[in-house]
Amino acid sequence: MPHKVTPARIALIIFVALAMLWLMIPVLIIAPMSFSGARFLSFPPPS
Amino acid sequence: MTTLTNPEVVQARQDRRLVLMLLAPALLVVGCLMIVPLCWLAWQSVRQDGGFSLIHYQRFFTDGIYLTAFGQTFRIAFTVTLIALLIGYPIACLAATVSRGWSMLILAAVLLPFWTSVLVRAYAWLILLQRKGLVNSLLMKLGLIDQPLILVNNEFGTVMATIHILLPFMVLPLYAAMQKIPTELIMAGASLGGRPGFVFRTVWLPLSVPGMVAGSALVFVLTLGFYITPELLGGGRAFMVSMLVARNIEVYNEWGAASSISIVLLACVLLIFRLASAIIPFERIMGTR
Repeated sequence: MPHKVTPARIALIIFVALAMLWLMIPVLIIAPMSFSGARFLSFPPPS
Repeated sequence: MTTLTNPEVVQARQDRRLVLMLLAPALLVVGCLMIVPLCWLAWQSVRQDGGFSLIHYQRFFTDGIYLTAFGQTFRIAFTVTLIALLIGYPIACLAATVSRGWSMLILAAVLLPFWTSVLVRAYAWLILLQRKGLVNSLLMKLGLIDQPLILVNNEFGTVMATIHILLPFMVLPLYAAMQKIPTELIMAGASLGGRPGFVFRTVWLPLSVPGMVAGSALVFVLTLGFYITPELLGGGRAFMVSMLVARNIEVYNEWGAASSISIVLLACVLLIFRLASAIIPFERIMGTR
């Protein structure tokens, strides 16, 4: 369906982009964490 | 006697037998894996020292922690469902109205966290939200706060991580419902002079109600039995029914008490659905009539 670019539509896209980011961050953070040498959980990983 | 030999009657009887035979494996699986354990659970909950006893149910009225845990569980489940609906609805909306490629991308992004373990994601949230975590240090650096906020080891952290884990269960039913909405209806609404907001309210929103009901019911029921996030991120301040069950088994080795809690929770859920179906006709909404 062709959508006119209305302010509401832009707001929707921004909201969804932020939500995607919120969904992704915990998953993305796991990768560097797995190389961490720290004994306790911390981010950014110290070594 | 003529009816017994009537070929149509014989045929119908054979058909019925065939259907029953075909259903038997499924019924057997449901019976063995669901009904029997449930009955055993119910039986266990009314036994104490080898005899019949209602002592486990009596505890609900005498032990304050039981009522507190149930109250907190339902409050958390309600909050999680509401926020998941508010976040999931726009996502499903966009996914259902963009081109196929984009909608696949959005759904993949929703499902990607789904492929990582719940436990791992709970720990990831612990790292992000802890006192010296990423969120707190970022907010401090921006000068928005002077001292770290307590974001985890309380109800907030639990709710946050639970929503994150259960969001796919909200988005997918919503997306499925919205995909079925004919675009012609939206165009018709617009061509008849309806402003986008008006068309959304009067056409789109009512037609997406089945997805809202299905997603909310899924998320609500799943949250009621959630264990990992309140255990890891609750810090003892989010005490949910699942933890009550676990404590009774781990610490006290009280299988009867744990069973009675499960039975009461099950009864609560059934009661809620019964009451809700009086207001919203589930069968018609879900299309399973």
